[in-house]
Formats: sequence, structure tokens, C-alpha cells
Amino acid sequence: MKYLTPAAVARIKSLKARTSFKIGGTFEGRHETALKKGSSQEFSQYRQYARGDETRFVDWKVYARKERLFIKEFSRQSAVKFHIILDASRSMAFKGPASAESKWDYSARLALYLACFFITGGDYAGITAVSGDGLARFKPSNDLASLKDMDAGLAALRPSGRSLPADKLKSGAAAMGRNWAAVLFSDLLVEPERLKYLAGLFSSGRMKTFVFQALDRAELDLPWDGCAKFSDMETGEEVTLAPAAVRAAYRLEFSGWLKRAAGAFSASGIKRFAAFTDAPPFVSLEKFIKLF
Amino acid sequence: MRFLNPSILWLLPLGALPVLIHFIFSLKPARIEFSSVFLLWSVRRARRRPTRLLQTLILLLRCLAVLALVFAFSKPVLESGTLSRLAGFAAGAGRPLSLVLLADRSYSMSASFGGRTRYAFAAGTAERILGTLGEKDEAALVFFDESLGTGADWTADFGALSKTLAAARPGYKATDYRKALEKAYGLLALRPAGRKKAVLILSDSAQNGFAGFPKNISALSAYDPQAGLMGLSFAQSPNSWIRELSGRQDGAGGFELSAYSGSEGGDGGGEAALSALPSPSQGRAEKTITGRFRNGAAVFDSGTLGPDPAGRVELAGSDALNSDNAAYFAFQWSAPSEPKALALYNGEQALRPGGGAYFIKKFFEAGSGRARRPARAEFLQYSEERIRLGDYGAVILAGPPDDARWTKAVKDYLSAGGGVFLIAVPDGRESPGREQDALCKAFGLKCGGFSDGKFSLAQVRGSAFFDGEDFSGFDLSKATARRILLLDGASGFEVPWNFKDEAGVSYPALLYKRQGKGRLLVWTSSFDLGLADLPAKPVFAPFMAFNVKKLFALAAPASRSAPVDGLYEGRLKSGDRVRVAVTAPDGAKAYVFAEGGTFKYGLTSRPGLYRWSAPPEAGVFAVNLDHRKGESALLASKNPPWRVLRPEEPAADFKSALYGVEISQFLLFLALAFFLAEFMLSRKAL
Repeated sequence: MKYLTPAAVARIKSLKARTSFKIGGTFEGRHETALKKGSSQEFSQYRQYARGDETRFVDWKVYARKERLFIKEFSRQSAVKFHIILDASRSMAFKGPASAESKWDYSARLALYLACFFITGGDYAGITAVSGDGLARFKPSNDLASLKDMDAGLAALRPSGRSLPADKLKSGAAAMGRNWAAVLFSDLLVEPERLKYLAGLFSSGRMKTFVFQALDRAELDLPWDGCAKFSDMETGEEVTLAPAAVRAAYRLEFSGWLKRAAGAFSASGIKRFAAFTDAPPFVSLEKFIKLF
Repeated sequence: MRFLNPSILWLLPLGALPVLIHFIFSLKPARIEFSSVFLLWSVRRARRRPTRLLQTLILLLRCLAVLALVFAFSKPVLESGTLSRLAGFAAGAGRPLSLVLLADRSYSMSASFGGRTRYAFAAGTAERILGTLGEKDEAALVFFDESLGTGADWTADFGALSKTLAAARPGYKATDYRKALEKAYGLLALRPAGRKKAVLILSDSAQNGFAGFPKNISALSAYDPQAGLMGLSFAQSPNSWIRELSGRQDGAGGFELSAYSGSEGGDGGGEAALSALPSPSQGRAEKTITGRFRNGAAVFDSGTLGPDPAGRVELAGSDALNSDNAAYFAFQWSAPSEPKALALYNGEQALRPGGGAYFIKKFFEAGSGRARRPARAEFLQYSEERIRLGDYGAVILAGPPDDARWTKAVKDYLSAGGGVFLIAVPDGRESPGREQDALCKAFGLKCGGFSDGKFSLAQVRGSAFFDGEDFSGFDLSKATARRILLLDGASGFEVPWNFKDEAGVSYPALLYKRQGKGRLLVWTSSFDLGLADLPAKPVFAPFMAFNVKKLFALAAPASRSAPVDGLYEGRLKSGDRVRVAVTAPDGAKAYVFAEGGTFKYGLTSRPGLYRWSAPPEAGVFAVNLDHRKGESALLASKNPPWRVLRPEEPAADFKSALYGVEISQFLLFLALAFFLAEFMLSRKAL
């Protein structure tokens, strides 16, 4: 397999992760759900009674003691469907002069690592690659064997088309349920207005969304000398300038844009993690999964 | 600012090279596929203006760097009083100086300036400048005018040099800057390398000194553009001078001295006084005659000066330059021993008003109009007895004689050296008589009879008979005759005047020839008003004056003179080898030897009257300033090839001109700074 080597799988299995992820759903999995009292429940915590809560969960003994109403909450282990959306636009094929692999390869690798992590944790993981050629879907599965097909499929895919087409993402988001989680792998190199729209789009769905922003170091540093004509990989637009002359200003602009991106997702309750492709994949993975 | 290497400035257009290269050879940018350019666009839009400014600045710095390099190699010298005081930065500071002083001793340097002569001022200026020189500096002195004189060799004893300068005086010659400068550059060329060189011209930048000067100073031999060249100039001063003296004999045999003045801003001469030398041997006392210049000429009534007049004409009053206010003269001239003429006429009617002899008599009574003292003339009829033609210097035949005896007498008189003036057409005769025919035959002419008509006078061009006088103030065509004598055989005669009839045919009017030792004049018409109206015209008097001069064979005065510094050639009657003592105007005596009647004397360094003596002979000759060079005009050249020092601060100007700051090193640093700045900004831009 190109991305998910046996050594990587072994390393992923050794990762211990515990999330406080609160979702609904009935799938088996490691994730605990803060549920109201029900079958296969473990007491989780008390909380004060609020109008509309079911009275069957009121703890009368506590009321007798304190003459105040408290509701018992229970946690329940349930499986989650993780839907990994991979941005397979043309810009993801960018690879800087000093980079070992393109953003696409890096993202695909991490996506598979994550999928492996989820599956070994008892959850379901599926991958959808969104490119100019359309969608490449790999159905959610909790079988490690499915990762082999996913790896092969992603290795054969060539990034193309524009980034994050809204129509495809919209239909995808609408199809997800409450016990679904979406993990978006993209460089998010779109205008801030579009970024806001995407953030709003994902936050409007019932699923929880996480974003992994993959960037190439060269996109920040502009490591070229002399005069250069930069050609947009997706739109074909060209701009001629001297990188050295604009480097400092561009970094400021880039940093500002990253902050705006972070702000846009944060405002929508979406957790975002950004990493450069020169960071070791497992380092990025461990940092990312802490978000869950 | 001046440039020591000005030819490099032709490379200045290279300053445009960076601009050409920028537009012609613009670099093609490398194409890079980038993930998304929207952020690059944003940055570029914000930085468009600063980038353009930066690129313009880079281009400008490149051009300035090239220009600074070109200027640096052209070695500009900035002349600034402030900068010259910064000796540490002075161009050539620390290098010892070799200075050549060229002291002008032409006579224009005698002109007054601020209470002293120009020369004295120049010497004082030199002393001040020499006082600023250091112990390692040296100076040499060259005196010059039209030629070079001895001065002083290279020395560091500037005090002695100043004294030598101050002790000298201007002479009487004109100016020649070419010789002086070539001498100076020749001296500097022999100095050791590494010394700073300069030439200081202590002169008045006289305009006439540049005759023969090359258009470009670099054509001077041994010219060194690195040597500083400085000089003085003086304000124009008005000046008048005696330009020329000329002597001539008037028609009556007297001597006439004319003086001509020159003036540049002056009054043209004004009053003048002629002082004639006394001549005890000739019984002549010193004499002073005054005259006045009108339109630059003054004529002195000098007829009474006697033979060989010599003396001085001097302008009254003084002006900027007094050494040219006087001119000297010495003429070899003898008054005719017997200025007596005899006029012969036929009958009393000839002397009546309008008669053939009437106007001749009036001429001798009134004079020629030019001479103050008319020659004497005796008027006798042909019929008078015991007339001896030999008693007279000239004989005027107012009409041909009736008596045949006169033919031989006149012919003999003529052959013996007399002067005869024949008025050929008689009064009252309708045709020539036999006696007239005989007379004409005796003169080598053949009478062809009278011709009546209307004849007008015309001067024959090219005739020297009248000594160059062309009677341009008279309209000769208005002088007419009604009767003329036609003559054949006039080929041996000079014909200065012709008659022309109404058809334009010419006939001789006045004829002249030498016959034997004598001189013959023939007028082919009459002086009778009934036959010709010439005697009534104003031209008659000068016409008669010239004729009388010819009759008396009066020799023109010969000037015995030489220009200053010229060679005088004197003549002695004796042909033996004799010693001639010559006394100059200052009393200095010198001796030369005469051989074959000629001696040569060259010690004519000052104007004045020089007396020579070789007993029993003696004489005087005059030496005058040569005004042909224009030295007396005191005109200064408007653009002398040297830097003119201000008269009020010559030493400071000298230092500033000599030690102007050479800023080539500064310009090299500037060029380097431009290149560095361009390099840094280019990296930033790229």
C-alpha cells in the first residue's frame, strides 16, 4: 500500500486516544455518549433539572436530602461514523521545491491513518475524495481490510478541478446524521468569503466537523529568487512578481488569512488544525486526534 | 569647474545605457505553478506603487553610477575658495610647485593704472603671489614683449625674484603671447615629474598680442593642459597717440609736415606741438609750431624749417599712455635754391581778367592753397629784351610765342634742365602759327591744328603724375574747353589728363615728358576763359600746384627713420670706410663703421632722435614706435586663454585656480555608492 504501511498500522494501533465526544447514535464504539438513562448505561453525572427534562431521570433521593431537583445522566459507549472528506482539487497537487510530497499525498496519508485509527477504535470510517472529476467514495466501514481499497483508490486518484465545490459538499453534508462526524482534509485555499460559507455549511449540518488544513511550506515562504510568473493551478491566473520583494508582506498576508480561516471555523464551532507537509505525519496525527 | 581630461566627457551618453539595457534586455520571468495566487494578487496590488518606485530608483542609480564614473575619469577640478582652504583635500596638495612668471614689458604696460603703471601693478601682484609659495616651490622669470628677454632661472629666492621684477621697466615694443607661452611651457616640460606646474602671465591681455596665436592653445609647442595658466587684465583706458608723420613738398616748394593721430576712446589728439631741432650749422634755431588735430590729422606750417628738418611732434596733455604721445621726424630735404618762375605772355590782354596769363598770375599771388608761401613768378611779355631763361627755375609759356627766337631758347633751356609749361592754344588766334609749329617740333610734337567743340576733362586712371592725387573732390567733367590743339607724336609723353568731346573721343589735355635734363608740360588748350573754363574751377589751384612741382623738379622729402628695434641704414657722401658715432636719445654713444657710403645701426631700443657723426658729415634720424601692431589702442582681449585673477584678490584667486579641488576620487566613491545601493535594492526587488 502506498500510504498505509504495516508499520504505520502497528503504530496507529498503539495510539491511545480518548475523546469526550458527545454524540448520539447506537453504534458500538469506544466513544462514550452522554446519554440520558437507558440500557447499558453507566452513571455519568448529576445536573440540575431544567424544564422539559424527563421526570423519570430525577433522583428523588437527592431531592429528599437537598429539596432540589437533579437529573441523573448516564454515559453509553457507541460507534461513530467518521466521514473523511478529502479535497482532491488541483491545488492539492502542489509540492514545494523542498517538500518530500505534495499536499494531496500528505493529506491522503493522514486521512488513511485517521481512518485506521477510527476503525481500530471500533468506529466506522469512510472517505470521499472531491475532485474536478467528481466524487470518489469509499463507504464507511469498521473493517481494517477496507483500508486497502481506500489506499489503492487514493493512490490512483489525480487531484483536479476547483477546490471544495459547494454543491457537492452541500449534498454530502446534508446526508450525514447525528452520529456522524465529518473530517475535512483540505488546504482551504479559497477566498475568505467562500471559507465562511463552507464553515457555515458544515456547521449547519447535524454532524460534528473537524478540519485538517494541509499546507506546503513553500506556500508561506515563497522560496524562489529572481522574477517569477506564478500560475494558479486551478484557475490558470498568472501574476508576475519578485518573491524576494514581496516575501515579508506576503507572509503577513498569509498569516492573516490563516487567522481569518481559523476564526471563520471557530465561529462556526468547527475545530481546525493546520499543519505543513514538512511536519512528520504521525506528529500531525497525534496533534489532530487530540481535537476529537 | 574645469576638467583635466575633458575628452572623456564624450562618453557621457553611456549614462543612458542602463535604460536601454532595461528595456531591450528585460529578464524573462520563470514560470511557477502555484496552488493559489489570490494571496499573491492581494500582496501585489498593495505593493504595486512601491515596487514601481523601487524599480525606477534602481534604474536611476544605475544611470547615476555610470555618469559618476565618466565624470570621475574626466578629472573635474572644482574651484572653490572654501574648498581651496581645505589644503588636505586640495588637488595636488603636497606637491611642490614650479611657477613660470611671464613679465610683459611691451609699451602698453606703461599705461597708468591706479596711480602706477600696469607693469608696476603686475610686479606687485607677482610679489604677493610669490609670497604665498613654500620652500619647496620654485619660480622662473621670463621677460617678453615681441621677443623674449632674459629673466631669471629657477629659484626659490622669491625675494630676489620680486626685486628683479620690480626693477625692470616696460620698453617700446609690442606684444607676442605665443612666444612667451611656448617659452614657459618649454621651461616647465624640463621640470621633474611630480611637481605641480603653473604659468602666471603678468600682462594686460593686450588684444594685439594674440596676432599669430593659434585658435586652440593646445597647438602651442610643449603645451601642458595640466599646468595652470593664470593672468591679469586691466580695464580699458582711453588713449590717443601720434600714429604717423609724413612730410611733403607743397606746390610752391615749401615743406609740409602732416601728423596723423590714433585714438581709442580718447579725444583724437587735440592740440599738438611740433618742436624742430635747432641747426646751428645752418643757422636754424629751435622752433615750435602748434597745430590741431581735426579728424585725426594735423598739418603744420613747417615751410620755414629749412633743409633736412628734424624734430618731434607731441600731443598736448597726457592720457593713459604717454610714451606714444610723441613721434619723431627727420627728413632729408632741400628747398629749391631758386623758386622763381618766369611767365611769358603775348600782349597786355593776356593779363587782363579772363586772359590767358591772368589766372596764372593769380595763382602765384595767392598761392596753391596748400603752401603758405607761394613761389615767386615774374610775368614778362615775349617782346621784352634781355630775358635770360636760365635765371628762372621754371618757365611758363602762357600761349606760344610769336617770335621764332624763342623756339631755340626754350629748347636749350629745356635741355639744360629747366622746366617748361606750354599753354598751347594762344589767345585770339584761329590757327597755330609757324612759330607754334616750330615749337611743337622742337618738343617732338606735330601740330595738327585747332579743334573747336565742347570738350570736357577726364582723368587718366593709373597716372602717378599727380603723386596719387585723384582730385576726387572735384568734378573734372565740369571743366570744359571750346578749343584744343590737336597734336601728333605724343607717344613719348605721359598724359595724365584727357579731353573728351561730346562723342566720347579722347584727346590729350595735359602732356608731360623729360627732355634732356629738363621737364616739359604741355596744356593743349588755353587758360583764357573765352576758350576754356578750367582756370575758373576750384581744381585749378591744386592742378597748378602739381604742375609747378613738376616744373621745379622738387624732390619729395625722404624720411630718415626706423621703427623701434629696427635697423637704420644711413648714407654718407663719402664712400670711404669711416667710423660713425651714433648718440642715442638718452646720451648713450655707440660706434659703427660705414662702408661704401652706408652704415647700419641697430641699437634702436627707444624712440627719439639719434644723432650720427662722421666728420665732416653729420645727421639725424628718428626712431618711432611701430603703431602697426596696435599696441597703443590698449585693447584687452575679451577671452584670453588664461584664467584672469581678480585684481583685488590675486593671491587667493591664484590658489583657488591652482589648487582647485580635483573631485575625481569623490566621484569614484560616489559611483561605488551608487553601484552598491543599486545592488542592494536590486536584490530586494528581485
